[in-house]
Amino acid sequence: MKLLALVLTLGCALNAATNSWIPITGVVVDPVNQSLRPIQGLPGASLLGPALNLPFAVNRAVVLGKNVAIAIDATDSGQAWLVTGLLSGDIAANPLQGAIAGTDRIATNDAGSVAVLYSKSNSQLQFVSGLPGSASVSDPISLAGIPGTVGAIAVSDDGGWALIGVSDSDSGSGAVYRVGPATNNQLLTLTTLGDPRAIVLKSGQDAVIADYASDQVFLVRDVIGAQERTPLVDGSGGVSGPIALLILPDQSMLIANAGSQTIGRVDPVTMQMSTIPMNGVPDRFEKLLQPGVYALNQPGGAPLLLLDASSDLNVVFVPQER
Amino acid sequence: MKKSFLRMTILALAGGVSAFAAAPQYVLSYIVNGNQSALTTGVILPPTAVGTTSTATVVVFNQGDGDGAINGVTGSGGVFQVTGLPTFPATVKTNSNVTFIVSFTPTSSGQASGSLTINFDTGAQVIALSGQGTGVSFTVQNITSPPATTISANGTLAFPATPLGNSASMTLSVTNTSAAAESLQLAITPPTNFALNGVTQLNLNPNDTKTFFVVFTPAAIGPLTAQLQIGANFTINLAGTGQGSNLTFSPVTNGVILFPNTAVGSTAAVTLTITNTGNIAATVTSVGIPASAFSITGTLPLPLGLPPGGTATIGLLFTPNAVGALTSTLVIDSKTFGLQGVGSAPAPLPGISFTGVGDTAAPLQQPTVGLQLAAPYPQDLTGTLTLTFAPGSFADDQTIQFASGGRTVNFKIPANTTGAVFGQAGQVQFSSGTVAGVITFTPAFAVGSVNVTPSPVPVKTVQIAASAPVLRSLQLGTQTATSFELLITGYSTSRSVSGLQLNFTPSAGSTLSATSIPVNSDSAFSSWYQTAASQTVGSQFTASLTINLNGNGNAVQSVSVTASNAQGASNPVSVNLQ
Repeated sequence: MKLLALVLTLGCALNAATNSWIPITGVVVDPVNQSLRPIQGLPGASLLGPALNLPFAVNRAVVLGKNVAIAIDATDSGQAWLVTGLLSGDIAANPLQGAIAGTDRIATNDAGSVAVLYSKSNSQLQFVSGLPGSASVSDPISLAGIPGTVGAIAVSDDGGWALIGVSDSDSGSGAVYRVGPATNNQLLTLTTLGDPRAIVLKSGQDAVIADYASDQVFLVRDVIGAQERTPLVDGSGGVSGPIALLILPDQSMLIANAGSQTIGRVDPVTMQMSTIPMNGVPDRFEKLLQPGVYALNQPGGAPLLLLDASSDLNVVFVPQER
Repeated sequence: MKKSFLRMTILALAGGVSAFAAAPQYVLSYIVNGNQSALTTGVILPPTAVGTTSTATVVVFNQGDGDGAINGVTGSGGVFQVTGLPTFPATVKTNSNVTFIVSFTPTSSGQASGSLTINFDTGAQVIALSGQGTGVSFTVQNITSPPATTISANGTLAFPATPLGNSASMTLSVTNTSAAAESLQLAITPPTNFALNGVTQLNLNPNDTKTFFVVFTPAAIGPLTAQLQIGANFTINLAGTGQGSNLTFSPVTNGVILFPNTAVGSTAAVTLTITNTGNIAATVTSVGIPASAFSITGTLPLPLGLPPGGTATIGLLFTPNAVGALTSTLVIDSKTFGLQGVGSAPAPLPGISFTGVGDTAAPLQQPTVGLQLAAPYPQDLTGTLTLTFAPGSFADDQTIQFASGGRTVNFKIPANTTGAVFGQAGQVQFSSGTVAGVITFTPAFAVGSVNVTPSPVPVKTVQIAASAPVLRSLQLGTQTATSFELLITGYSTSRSVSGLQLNFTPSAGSTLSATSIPVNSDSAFSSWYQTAASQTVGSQFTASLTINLNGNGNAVQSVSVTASNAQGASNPVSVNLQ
C-alpha cells in the first residue's frame, strides 16, 4: 500500500473579474493590430481575445508553449524578444540578447527547446537553444553564399541541425540544405528542387519536402546518411501549391494546398490523398495550445481558420472582426 | 365730266394733218397733285424731297376726227421713271385719251432734268422733264476702309458677319454740300443690334465734313437690319449677320427632362438630342449629373463638336432607388436642366426559403445558411441576414456569429437569379456556439433603398438542445510533490455542471485508498457562469481542480474525469500523470 490516502479539494476559486476559466485554443499573431492575441474558446466556437500587453508591436512570433513565445518586433530593427507568462497574467518580455536582427522566419523543434531564426535582409541563420528557461543564441550562420530566400525550415529534435529550403526566383531553382552545430555550420546540400516551401521531419531523420513550383511532395530518407529521395504525391494526386506540411500521430500527412484552397490528407498506407475544401488560402500548420489544433492562416482580411485534428479533420473559422 | 375738262384744256399739237382727211390730232397735258396743265415746255414735277417720289400723269388726247396710235414711250431714266404705259401700239381713238405716269425720285437736292419720247403714228415728240430735289444738301460716304464709297439715300451699309457678343463698326462721313449751315439729326430704327457711337446730331457749316461710327453688336443669330436716318429725308439701310451657335435640346419641357414612371430597381432611358441651330460650330465640353437616381449612359466623347445644323445624343438613365418623385439636374456646360421621374413600388418578392441549415444544430458546429427565392426576381436585391439568439439559460453566447463576424451579414441576389450571394459564396457559415437556445435567422430585402421584405417576414429557427456536458480535454496544470492541478476543458449547453466524477488508475503495483471520487461542482460552475467573462465563450470552461496528495504521488498512473448536469453525464477524458 504505497498510497495511504488521497484527499481531493476543488481548487476553483473564481473571481468574476478574471477570465481564468475561458478555454484558450492558442495564441496567434494579429498582423492588423501587430499584437499577440489569444483564441478564446474551443475550435468551432471561439473568438479572438484582447491583445496581450506587450511593450512592442509584433511582426511575427512562434509560441513555444502555454506561457512562452519568441516574438519579433515590427520596428526596422526587428528585435527578437522572449515573452513569458503569456496566459498567466504576469506577462513579461525581454530582448533575446545576441539574436540576429530582422528575423523573417522562425522555426522550432517539436519540443520547443530549440529555435532557428532567419533574416533575409542579413542572409543569416541563427540557432537559439535552451528554450524556454535558458535561452542561448549561437553565432549567426551566413547564407550569403547561396542565392535566394529561405522559404522553409525544419529543426531536428535535438536541435543539432536544421533543414532549410531555399529558392531563387531569378534562376527558378532551389535546394534544401542541412546546416547547424552538427555540420559545424557548414551548408550541406540535401537535394535540389524548384521551390521548397515546406519541410517536416518524420521519424527523426526523414524529411518530407514540398516543392511549390512543381506541385510535388518528396520523402528524403535518412537526411544525415544515405539521403534517399522518393516522390510521394504530386499534382496528379491533387497537390496544388503545397505550402505547408504536417505529420499526424497516425503518420498520415497533411498538405496545405494554397492553389486549390484545400487541406490534403495523404493516407500513410495507400499514399492516396483526400482533400478538405476550405473558404480561404492555407499558408501554415501553426501548432496551437489545444492538442491537435493548428492555425491555417493569419487573422485579418479573412476569418482565421483552424484545423482541428484532435479527432476527425475539421476546418473551422474564428469569426472575422469588423 | 373729266373728258369735258380735258377737251377744254387741250392744246393744238402740230402735226402733219390734212385738212381734208380724217386724222388724229393730239393734245398733251399733265396732271400734278390734281391740277392739270397744258404740256408746253415739258412736264414740271413738284419739288420733291430726296429719297421720296412725286408723280405726274401725262394725258394724250386725240381731238382729231380719226383714230391715232402711239407706238412707244421711252424715258431717259435716272431719277425719272415712266410707268403705267399701255400696250403698244396703243390706239388713241378720236375724242379719247391715253395716260401714263412719270415719277421723280431725287437722290440729291437741286434741279434735275430728263426727257421722254412719245412715238406717235404721226412722228416722235420729245418732252422735257424737270424737277427739284429738296431737303438734302449733303453727301454720305463710307470711309471705314479706302477707297471711300458714297452711299446714296436708301442705299445699304453692309456690316461683316459678327459673332454674338462681338461688335463691328463702320465709319461714315457727312459733308455739307450746300451754302448754308446744316443741322442733321442721326437716329437708328429699331435701336437694336446697331448703334451710333454717341453722336446724335451733326452740325455742319458749308463744306464741313464730320464722321461718326455705326456699331453692329448682334444680339441674335442670322440676318439683322435697321435703318439709319440722317436728317429728315435721308435713310441708309443697315445690314449685318449675327454669328453664333445655338444649341437646342429635346425632349425638354419647361427646362425639365421627364422620365416615365419606373419601378424601383428598374431603369428607364431617355435620349436627349442636342441640335446646333446656329451658324457656327458649337462645342460641348462638360456634361454631368450629381450622384442620384439619374445617370448618363456610357462615356461621352467630350469635347463634343457640333457643326451648324449638327446633332448629338446623350443617353440618360433613370434608376429609381426610392418610391415617389425623384429629381436631379443635368448640367451641360452652362445650361442646367431638371431631371424628373417617379419611382414606383417594385414588384413583391416571390416565396423565400432557407437552405443549408436544418432545424437543429449541435454545439460547436459551423453550419451554413443560405436564402433562395421561389422564382427569379427581375431586379437586383440587396439585404441583410440577421442572427438572433434566445438562450435557454438567460445568458448570451458571443461565439454565435457569422464567419464574416457579427450577427448580421449582407447579401445580394442579382436580377433574374434566385440564390442569395454572401460575398462570393452561396451560403454563409455561422457558429452554433455552446449554449442551449434558439438561433433565429431573419432576412431583410431591399431594391435600392426600398424595403421589399414581405410581411410577415419568413424566419428560420435552429434549436440548440440542452445536453449533457461535453469534455474536450483534461490536462495537467501545476504539479508539486503533494498536489497536482487538473485542467478540465469542455462545455455544458445548459450552463450548469452539477458534479464531477474523478476516477484514478493506480500505477502498477500501487494501491489507492479510493479510486472514484465524486465532486459537487454546482456552486463553482454557477459562480463561473454568472461572470460576464463566461458569456464570451458561451458555456465553455477550463475548470481548475487541485488534487492534494497524501502519500507517494507516483502511485497515480492516470486520472479520468466525467462531468454531469441535469441532462446526464459527459464523455470521460483522462490524463496520464506518469
